[in-house]
Amino acid sequence: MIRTLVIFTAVAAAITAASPRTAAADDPHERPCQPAAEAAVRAALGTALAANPHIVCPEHPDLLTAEAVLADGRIATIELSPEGRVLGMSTAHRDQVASSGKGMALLFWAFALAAVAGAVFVISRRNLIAAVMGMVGSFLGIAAIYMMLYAQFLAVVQMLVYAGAIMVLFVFVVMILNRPEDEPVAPAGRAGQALGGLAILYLVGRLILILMQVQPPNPVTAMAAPLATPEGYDWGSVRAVGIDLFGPGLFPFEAISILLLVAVVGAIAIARPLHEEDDAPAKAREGGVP
Amino acid sequence: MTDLVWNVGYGHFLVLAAVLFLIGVAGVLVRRNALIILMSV
Repeated sequence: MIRTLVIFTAVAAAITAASPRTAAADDPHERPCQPAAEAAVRAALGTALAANPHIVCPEHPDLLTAEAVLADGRIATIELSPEGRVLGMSTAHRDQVASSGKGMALLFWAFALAAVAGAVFVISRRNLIAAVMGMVGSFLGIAAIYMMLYAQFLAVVQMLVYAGAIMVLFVFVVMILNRPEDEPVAPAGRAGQALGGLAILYLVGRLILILMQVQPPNPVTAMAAPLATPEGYDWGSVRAVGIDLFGPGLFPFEAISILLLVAVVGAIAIARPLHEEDDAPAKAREGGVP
Repeated sequence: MTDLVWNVGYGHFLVLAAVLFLIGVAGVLVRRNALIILMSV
């Protein structure tokens, strides 16, 4: 679990480091504006502009547009006429601006490859444990993809529920179903107990060491998180997911719940023996009367 | 082609989702092991 969290933190840090504005410096699609266009943007935005507004004019086939950083940290997108007249304007938080940086593209292809390769691994392996490990790799890639889409809550849930709980469940099921009955799973006797005790002591010690190294939140990095705006820039949060799930998506959510319930009942109905005599060997093994 | 590789948009994410869905469908249809089918779902 700790290793999973470390990987997740590394993925999040990599995505943050390659955020759109960071990668925009060497982006060929952003170029400085013509003086007339820049003057029109400055006149239209006035004091709302940041001290260093970083006004650029991305290449676009149809529209002449300019982007400028505002004093409150948002990005203003201005549509200009060929004469340099302002036709329209919209603002968004800087993280809402679409990315065209190469860093983000590289991360996308890497995580997409991990997700697809893990999925292919799952359906192509005969060894079930290897298939489960491929599934974990696929889950990691998908969680990173969620982060790239600013769905941070889904990414965390993906890691905790799928890569954590579901993976452990599958490993347990594989071990229980495939393990020969007479095969020992651990060294028996005093030696086995001593080995187990040492392993527990090692894990507890490592956990304490890690907890002692945890630093309090840095106010600077905390402020670097995406800000909420009156327009509702929080689509990746728990609140936004809850509103969508129990608002417009209420019927599909409940329908899927009923579908899963029916699937569970159907699985039990299929798995249980059809006749009492089919279950006789199992009862005999348990010491009951067949 | 270069634009397709370096300008990642929502279409890329949708194609990725479709590919993963198809791999899952293939796993359900091709494999006979119940656990593999469950993982493919």
